[in-house]
Amino acid sequence: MYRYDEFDHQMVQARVDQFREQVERRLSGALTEDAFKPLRLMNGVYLQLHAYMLRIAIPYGTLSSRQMRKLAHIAREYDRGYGHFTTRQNIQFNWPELVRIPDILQELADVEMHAIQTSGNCIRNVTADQYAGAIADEIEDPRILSEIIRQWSTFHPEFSFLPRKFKIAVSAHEQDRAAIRFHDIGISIERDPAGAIGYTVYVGGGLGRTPFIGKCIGTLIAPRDILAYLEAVMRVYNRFGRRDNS
Amino acid sequence: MAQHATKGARFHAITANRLDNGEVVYFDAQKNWQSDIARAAVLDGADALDALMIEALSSRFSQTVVDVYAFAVDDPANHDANAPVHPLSVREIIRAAGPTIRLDLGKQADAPRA
Repeated sequence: MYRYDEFDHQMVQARVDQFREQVERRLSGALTEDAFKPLRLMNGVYLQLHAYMLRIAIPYGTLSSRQMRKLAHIAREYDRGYGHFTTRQNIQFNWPELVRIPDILQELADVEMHAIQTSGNCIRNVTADQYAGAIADEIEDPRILSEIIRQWSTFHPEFSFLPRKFKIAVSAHEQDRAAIRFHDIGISIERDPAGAIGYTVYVGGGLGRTPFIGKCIGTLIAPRDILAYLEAVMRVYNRFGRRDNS
Repeated sequence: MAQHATKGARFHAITANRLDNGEVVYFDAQKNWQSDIARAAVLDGADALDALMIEALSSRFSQTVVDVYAFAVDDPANHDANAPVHPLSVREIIRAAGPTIRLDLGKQADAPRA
């Protein structure tokens, strides 16, 4: 699985430090809720019916035992002894206290985890097949492309204020276990007749109030072109997507 | 307009979440934020609601809470004096008690057993 380099550590730590200061300013009254709300959403903090909720990213559903133990520790130490693994391969804690969330984020950073871009109008966690990297007949390990997309989309300055949330899924098997056609962008990893890897791209899928099945807009996109292709999709969405129906 | 008002409702209470820990709280007649819905002030009519809501939203009383709003409740005269505040919406009933799928969590878990 992906291992953080020194830049990743620095960025996540800087984010933790930044949010800690934002929470302090909110608690002191220096920040209003209107100013604070988009900041906390960018760090995965929701205010729900009963309490705050913290959503933590588990990139394409891959978790080490060390990280799993840390999540268990967080559940015991900071929450009510349980966590909720979500449909999109994140984990949610339903009872964190805002005043302690910076400490939670620090503990997560210590095991290369975070809550960045798990809520708000941005590109969310990239999801993949639950058997990714383990099933023999996948075209290639979808976690590789998922990681490339994750790095490309994290802190992307052009796509930090999208019309709505944006979800991407990757499948590398003829049996789509990642439900890619129910995502804003769904990518199917395939082989062309010559055996070369290519990516078929679906857009516009989703569930919720108005379910849509994604439409295919490109077949067997060359790997070297995929990020530029995705960037074009994002620019169209960012420009023309509705911002009035959240 | 109250966020979760029932059209034509006569009685309302005021709620919010504690800023530091997210706990659901209710504004009482002494202008304190209480954890127990039974201690919430019940406002009879729009004028009474508006008057207390102004207080609840004022900087003096809103610094420690977030997302202040009013919700409709039943006439307290229809209920026991020890538990006079009954929300009219299912949402607020659930919000006052706790998760319906985990009865061991939320305020319902702390409530004394009958």
